[in-house]
Amino acid sequence: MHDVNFRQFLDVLSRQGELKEVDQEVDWNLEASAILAMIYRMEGPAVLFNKIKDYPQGYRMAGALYSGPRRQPWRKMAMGLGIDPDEGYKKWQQEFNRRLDHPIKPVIVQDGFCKEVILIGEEADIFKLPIPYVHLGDGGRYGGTLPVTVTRHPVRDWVNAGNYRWMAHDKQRLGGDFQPGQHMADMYYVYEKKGESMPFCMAMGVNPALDIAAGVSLPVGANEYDVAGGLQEEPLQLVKAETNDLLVPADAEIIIEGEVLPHERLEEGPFGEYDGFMTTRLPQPVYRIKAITHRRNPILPVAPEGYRFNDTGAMSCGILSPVLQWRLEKEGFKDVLFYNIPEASWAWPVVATKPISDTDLGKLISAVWSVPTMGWLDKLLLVDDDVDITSTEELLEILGTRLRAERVYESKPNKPISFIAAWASEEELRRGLAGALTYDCVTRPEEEKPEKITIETLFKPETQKWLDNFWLRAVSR
Amino acid sequence: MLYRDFLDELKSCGELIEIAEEIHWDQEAAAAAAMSQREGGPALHFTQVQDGNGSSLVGALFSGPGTLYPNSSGRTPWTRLAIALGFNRDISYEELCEELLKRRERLVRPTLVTSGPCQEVIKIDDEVSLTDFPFPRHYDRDGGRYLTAGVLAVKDYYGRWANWGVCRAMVLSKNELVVNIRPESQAGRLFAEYEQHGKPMPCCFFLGGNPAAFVAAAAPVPEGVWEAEMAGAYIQSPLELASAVTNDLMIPADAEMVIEGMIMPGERQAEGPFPEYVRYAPARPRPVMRVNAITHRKSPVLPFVAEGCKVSDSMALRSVLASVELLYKVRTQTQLRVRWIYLPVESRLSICVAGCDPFYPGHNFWVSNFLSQLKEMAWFDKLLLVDSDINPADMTEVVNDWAQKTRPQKGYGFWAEEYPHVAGRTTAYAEEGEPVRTVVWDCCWNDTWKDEKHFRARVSFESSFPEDLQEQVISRWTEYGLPGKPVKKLVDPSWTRGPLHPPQLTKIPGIGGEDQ
Repeated sequence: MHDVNFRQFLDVLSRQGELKEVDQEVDWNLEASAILAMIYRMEGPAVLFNKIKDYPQGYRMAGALYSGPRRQPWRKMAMGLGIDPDEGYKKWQQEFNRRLDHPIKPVIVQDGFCKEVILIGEEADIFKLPIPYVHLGDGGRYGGTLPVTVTRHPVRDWVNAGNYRWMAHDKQRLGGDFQPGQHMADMYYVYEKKGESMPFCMAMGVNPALDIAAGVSLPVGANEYDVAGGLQEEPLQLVKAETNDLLVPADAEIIIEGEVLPHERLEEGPFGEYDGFMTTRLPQPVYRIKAITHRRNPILPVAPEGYRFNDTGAMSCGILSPVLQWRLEKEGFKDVLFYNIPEASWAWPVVATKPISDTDLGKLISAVWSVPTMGWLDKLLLVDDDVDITSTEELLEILGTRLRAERVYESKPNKPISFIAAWASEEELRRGLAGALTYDCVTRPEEEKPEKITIETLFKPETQKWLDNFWLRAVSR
Repeated sequence: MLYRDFLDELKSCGELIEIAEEIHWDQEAAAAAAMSQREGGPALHFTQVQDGNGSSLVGALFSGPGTLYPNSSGRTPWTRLAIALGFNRDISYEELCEELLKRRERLVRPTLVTSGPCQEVIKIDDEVSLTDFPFPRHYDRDGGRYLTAGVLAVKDYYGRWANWGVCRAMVLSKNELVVNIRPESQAGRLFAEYEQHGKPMPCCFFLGGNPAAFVAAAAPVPEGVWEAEMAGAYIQSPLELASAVTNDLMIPADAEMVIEGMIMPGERQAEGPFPEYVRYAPARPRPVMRVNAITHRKSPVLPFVAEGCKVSDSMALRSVLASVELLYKVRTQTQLRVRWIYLPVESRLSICVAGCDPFYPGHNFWVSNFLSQLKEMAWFDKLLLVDSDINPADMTEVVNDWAQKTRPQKGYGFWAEEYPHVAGRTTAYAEEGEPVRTVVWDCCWNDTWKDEKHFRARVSFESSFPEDLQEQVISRWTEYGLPGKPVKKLVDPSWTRGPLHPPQLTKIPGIGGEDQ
């Protein structure tokens, strides 16, 4: 049973040496983000900033909550879900997927920590919270880097919770990225077509199970609250919002409630996005704040985007990969292993398979590309199952030594193009469609598998055992 | 610098450790060296070798870890190379390459000395016994005991020019070696001349000596250039060579050991199996060397290479030296703007990464066109063209651009179908000599974009924060109470096609700006 709220999660991390507190005053204007950018590079612990410049004592910020070491990106997420991170990727993925198969519906409670302080109307000023300025060149202060934004479909019985960035336009208006194809954006466009406002709630500083569920790409109609309950193996506790009838996590640090009016647009951006580059500034719908509620001494979670090995990079390996695996298994592909290259932050999935025929490989490739989240990705690497898929170093070797020119497959330009595709011109972005490349480094059953030249293949087990002992004795001091 | 001074220098800056524990030449030494190569560890000097007869072994001498993952020692594949050539151990990749590019144009002839430590002990004819020395058996399935760090010195049939090259040799008997002279190599072609005339080819195998000698012998030096002169160029001072005892070939006066002999015409023996970059090479018929003399220092320190295991000495050396040769050709034969070239050790040198600045449409087509013709020289069959603002010592950034900025469609630069080429030593999917095709990835910003707004600024510690804040965060790191040592990457604003820092908005809401 792993129902931990946000502060309990920080405790869990701290007890396992994965959280450090900074009591020195830190500036929300770039300084906190710079510290976290360096922490990511050093595979460092989560950081709790206890004192923020210009803000009263008690208003705090926490970052690097889900980032992880390069060879174990799922580390902190596993701690948040009560899974042992040191058992390897396969174990993490199996347990994660097992819990995905058993969602638990949330329960409604009367009260929660998120209601300790309630600000309605004029008092609901977003700048009362220590929202950071995350990159030079950003169009605004991006307080929303780890929000869980909850919206209900106007017609269908479907509530969606997802992670969508937002910045502050002014005290009561926020701007976000409404990309068609994303569930919340699609819901909004339905409301807009009907001429109605879309009520929303954003929760920040939630149970890690919910942050993880919000990062998962679920099928249309699925509810992240149920999934979060399954991940923590206990139902989420929800309360009703103050100004609308959406349900929000009861123990969240911060809740922002409001509505998005139809046909209203303000320019949002630029922002440093997950591909490692700054986006452009575009007109986007506007979140109008009606209320802000929060815990006393609220902690704002931040996840500065675009820096190598940040939360998104870790989530692509720790969350996206198991989910894609889960979906592939539902299609009948049981003997594959899915991963993402952490250096490429979401954009380069890898699938390991045992030797299969051309026909079966074709079916596998089609199945992988038809998983909806793959819609924004345009590269895929396929390798043999004896490759260590979590080692980018080995994948670079495979790409260099085993990829042949005839086995790079190009698909037709019939997939939606990612808004932030770095290689695309404005015209291509407007056209909205792109193809994809698949790098096939899989050995066919009738082919001879290239030999690995490593300690494991060159020496007998006895020599390897001697080596392990020798190395401990004589070298690693 | 002299070989033993080189070992001392490595030791003093933590790049070599001495192992006092007794170790066996039968696989133990190679296993330990392979482990250090894998872990990105120091060179290992095994001072106590079982049955060593006073000789010791040193492995992982030029190895160094790839740049994908951070390592606390700050080592790179060129750290020990830099030390060998007298550079600062922390020299940046660019600086090292630019220096080598300049120096290689100024060849320095070696000087001849009458004798040297390499001839402290001389054994001739019947006294010769290769088995007196602890040449390692490297791996379980090897065909025999090997010399893997030996440089073969030969001259052409008419004595006009000399050639040095690193090649492995298997001990066949107490006075015979089978030498892996590949027929297409420079030494192979020289030997063919002798064989045509039915004459044996005098040769010397030397181990140790001025490290610049091994470095030059491992580099793809242009035909007709003597590696000894290139070694002199690298260090800008003449190598000191002595003449061999039983023939007139010249070898480093401070070599640890020189094995002198003749390669017999018409004789072939099975050499191998032994691992290469992507395969365990099977036994092949190779020329045989009759050993006439062995000269060596007292208590020689014999180098060896755990070849095939990442990152071996040759992988580390060639990742830089082959790149320098390629860059030299690009700079002297074209006007293309290629800022740097690197062959990542992570992919066993199979990929050639070039940092380009495509300043006109079609520029990168010419880059891939030109470099494709040099594949055999540098063993790669894949080309990755990235923007020149990426630091070559930053594989992480290369991988990110490779994922994000490659167009998902095969375009003009993607295939080099027009240039037939054969699988080389880094192609695992085809046998050597089979016809294959190059794969080219162009990950640069579109070369038709002129407007600054198309070049999106990077998100990184170095570009997303002003310099003074970067300095502040780094200098206050321990004050914050955070662990470890922060690492800033080398980024030069002049390298970026777009801006290093993104354009600043004048009004940012909530930072003293106007509301919309």
